[in-house]
Amino acid sequence: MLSREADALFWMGRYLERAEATARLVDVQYHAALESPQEGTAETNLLMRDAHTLWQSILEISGDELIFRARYGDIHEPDLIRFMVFDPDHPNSVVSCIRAARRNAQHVREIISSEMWETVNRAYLELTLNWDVEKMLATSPHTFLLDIRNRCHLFYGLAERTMLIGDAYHFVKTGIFLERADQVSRLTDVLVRGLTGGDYVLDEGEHMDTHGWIACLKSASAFEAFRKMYRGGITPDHVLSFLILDWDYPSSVHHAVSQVERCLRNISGSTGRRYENNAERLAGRLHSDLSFLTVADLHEAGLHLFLEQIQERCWEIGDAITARYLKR
Amino acid sequence: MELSVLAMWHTEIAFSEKPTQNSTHMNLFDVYREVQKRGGYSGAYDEMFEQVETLTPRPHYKALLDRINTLGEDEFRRRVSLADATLMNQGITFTVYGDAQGTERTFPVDLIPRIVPADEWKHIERGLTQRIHALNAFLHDLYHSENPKILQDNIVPRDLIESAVHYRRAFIGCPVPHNVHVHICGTDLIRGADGRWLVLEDNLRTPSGVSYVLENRLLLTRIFPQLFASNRSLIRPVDHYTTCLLANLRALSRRPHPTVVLLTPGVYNSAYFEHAFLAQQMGIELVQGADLFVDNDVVYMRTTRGPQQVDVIYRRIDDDFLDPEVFRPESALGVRGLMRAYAKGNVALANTIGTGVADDKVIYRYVPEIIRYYMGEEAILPNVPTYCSWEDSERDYMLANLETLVVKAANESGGYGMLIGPQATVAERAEFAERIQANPRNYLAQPVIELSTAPCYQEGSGIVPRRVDLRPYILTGPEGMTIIPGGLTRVALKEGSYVVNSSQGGGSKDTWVLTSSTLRPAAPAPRSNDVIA
Repeated sequence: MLSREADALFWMGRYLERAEATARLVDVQYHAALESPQEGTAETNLLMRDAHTLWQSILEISGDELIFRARYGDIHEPDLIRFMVFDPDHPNSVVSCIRAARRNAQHVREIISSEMWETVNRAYLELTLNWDVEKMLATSPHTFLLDIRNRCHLFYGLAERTMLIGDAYHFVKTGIFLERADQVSRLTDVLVRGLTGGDYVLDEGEHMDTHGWIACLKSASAFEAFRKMYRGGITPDHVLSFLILDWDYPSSVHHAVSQVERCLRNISGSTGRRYENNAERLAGRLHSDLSFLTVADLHEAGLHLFLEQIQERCWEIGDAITARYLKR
Repeated sequence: MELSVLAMWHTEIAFSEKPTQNSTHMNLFDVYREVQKRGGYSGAYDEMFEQVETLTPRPHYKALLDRINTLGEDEFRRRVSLADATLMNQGITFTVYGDAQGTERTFPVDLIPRIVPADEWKHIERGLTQRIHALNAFLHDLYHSENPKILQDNIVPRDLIESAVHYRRAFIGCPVPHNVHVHICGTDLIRGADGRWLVLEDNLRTPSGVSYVLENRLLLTRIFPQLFASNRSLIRPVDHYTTCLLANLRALSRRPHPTVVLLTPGVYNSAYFEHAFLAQQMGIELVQGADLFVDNDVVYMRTTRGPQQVDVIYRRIDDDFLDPEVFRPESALGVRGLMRAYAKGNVALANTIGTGVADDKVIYRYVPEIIRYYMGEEAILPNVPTYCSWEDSERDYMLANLETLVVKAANESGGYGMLIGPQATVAERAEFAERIQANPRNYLAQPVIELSTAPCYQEGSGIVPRRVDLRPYILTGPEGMTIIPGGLTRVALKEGSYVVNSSQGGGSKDTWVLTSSTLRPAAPAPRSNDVIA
């Protein structure tokens, strides 16, 4: 497969996953904010959580806080939604991600199936061109965000259903899962910081913000699966364990990294403990760390530091993939 | 692709046979006669109607006409908008300008097919086979030796060949597998007022449009399923095109498992959809210039598994842009060293280098002589009468009759560099007269041919006549020639217009070649009960 096309497949996967993650996050937090207490009330102080903190968290996850501040100044909900979802000049907004995914898909439209191409193309045509943004900001972005998620899911399903299982398929999936590992670790980091008022000290018992932890799980589409796994109820450690270390949940960082490693090995054909290239070595090492760690280890390492390192290691894996396969 | 197609399929079943109330008091063809007069179409041959005055259809159009009338205007309009949505969703579009503006347009498809009965097609096929054989022999002669026979015998003036922009003298003697120069050809045919088929233009370089032939057919089977169902085996299929093309391309290499690629200028090229489509249908790599490199006169592509040798390139880039070492040095679309590899026979190109000399608009005038010379026969499909400003007597005639002639520049295409005498202003004619005198090699003129008209749906007015041409696609391989039945019927969508090019407001139609002389009427649709069961 051509390096240029492998690159387009990889980034098509990444951008779609990023669009989906951002859409889900904004949607969940938008609804959580609707139910959150007013700023400055006794309740707020107790829970350390209000709408403003939530939006602040979202901005931090995106890593684009400086760009936002420069453009919009203080945080107001409609501005933030516009920035994260509709802003065509913000490269990580949902519409920009869809546009970028489509541009990449255009380069490989003869490689992906017609169904996959049409799904991306329609998402671009119908979601990025034909919406009345002002009207949506004045009411609710929910339908739009849901639609984005549905189309991304349709795309993932079509990839499984219609694509030849070969290098192209594995490059798409490498992109999707690498982005997922990165997004989920950011999400966890920032939400935990928000929920603990910045000190990462986890309250269990009566001070625990159950509502916030539920939103955290929902932001990763993890709530229902979590309930099935942990019948005893919600505790911060269980949530962390589920989002970061779980073996079976498809959005856990652990699972995502294991898939990255598997896809890379499928591309090179390497087996056993041998690795063929640096990307495989880095992915394998991160996979192995996540397989054998416990929540207690995360606390010992420092939760924030640990999650930040995961993001750095994801970037290193991405760079190694580029160096090995995607560079012309 | 299947998503929207499925939706349309369902609506087809749900709505097909419901008689539309409107159809009784509003006939889609009501305006046909009026527009024929108003648009200046009265002198033209009409493809559908034997007599426009009485709306009497030719026998091979009767079943279709009945079908359209049964559908009625509302239903027909609904299908038109479904079809357009389908094309947009599938990205069957061409780029108008950069993606930043988001301007992509669908190439308009008119849903009323053009029908060619079996005997007419047989005539066209014979004519095209003869013509392409002759042109290929001509190219072989020109590029085989330093002193081509046809020039020795003075059939075509030597000066004309040597001054042709697309003549590539440096490539004389390069290896040409199977002696085939033109693997893919798209010849433009028109039908004159008397109903005779004429050749308007030979496209021997990188003709485009075949993807629309294939996509239009797919679309039409969704739009008129009953008509297709009751005419199984009567409408000749077109979908073997890519299979045949792939086999021919593979045969250009002597290696047992050759790597065949399609070379595109990239996503911003107006024909990018077609390039991606053909590569996908053939399962070959779609490459851009920067994906390829030449090492030791061998072409490689950069893959995730390292360099991979390329054996055959179906190039959709003109000669001029292929290799900055030999042609335009500023071209970023091509591959440095590609011509060295080609000259050594390490890579095959389709079409070969220099075929443009034979579709030069001035050389066109000599094609009947070329056919006579190589084939020993008269041309089955005649040329449009052509005057060359190269010949003194013809130039005098041209200059004296500009207001009745169409003047074309020898090396322009896509409807550019043209003067349509009867529609031009005095100033425009004067300007062309000057250009002709300044550069006689570069111009030719033809009388205005009344292109035949075919019915087209026009939003807001109904079904109206519009001028059409026909571009069949001819594939040549080691085993011989394959002509895909039909081809692209191009339509000048603007009222009164003669220009069918997509860049100038043209559209297209599906073309049905029949295995018989007529179609059977559409099968009665199942009642809704049957569908549910």
